[in-house]
Amino acid sequence: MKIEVLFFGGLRELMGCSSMPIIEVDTTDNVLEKLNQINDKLAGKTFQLALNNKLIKENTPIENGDQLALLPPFAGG
Amino acid sequence: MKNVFIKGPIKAEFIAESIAKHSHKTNIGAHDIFLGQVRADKVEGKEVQQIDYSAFEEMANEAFYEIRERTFDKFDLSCMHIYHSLGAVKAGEISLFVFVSSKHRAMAFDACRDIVEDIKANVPIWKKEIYTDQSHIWVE
Repeated sequence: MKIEVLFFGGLRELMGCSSMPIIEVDTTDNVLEKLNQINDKLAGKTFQLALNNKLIKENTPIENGDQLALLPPFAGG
Repeated sequence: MKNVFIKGPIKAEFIAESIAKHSHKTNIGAHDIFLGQVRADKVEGKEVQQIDYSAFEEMANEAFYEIRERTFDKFDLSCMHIYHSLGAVKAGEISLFVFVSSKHRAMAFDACRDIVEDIKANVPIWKKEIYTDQSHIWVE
């Protein structure tokens, strides 16, 4: 299973890219574990998750081709 | 879906034209406008020179659409318009323009405040403050 992870705001700077593919994952928690292995500073950051543009509040199964966005606290206006 | 984003600052001329476009809608008795302006905050001896706005545009435009739906359900408005900057906006320039119109003032005042709070809480937009020494901070 392969999904695309998107980063925004300060997380884009932290991860050094705007998106990356993550493979061999079944749930959003799996994705976060993999991302923490890539950059352990992510664990100290506050963010929400959006799976295919919808905010999710808990661990969620993912499908091949899904898009998971990591959204730092919003600061519009 | 309507695109709310404008590249760079929202110009005074654009705001004036938006107001002028409503002169033929004579059922309107009250307009209320909110303008968000970039503040030159001072932090540790340096000053904010500009803000760089970025967004998850696809999701943000959906969020703006939902705000629009919620607002029309809740308030009896003749029309509403929202514009938000993307990219660089200097201190003193406008980055958010919310414009609501109704028959009477109370409805316009209440709706405008509601929309601004809704935008701040629910739209995936981020800002990076750039200081005079070119250092920056992501606002959270």
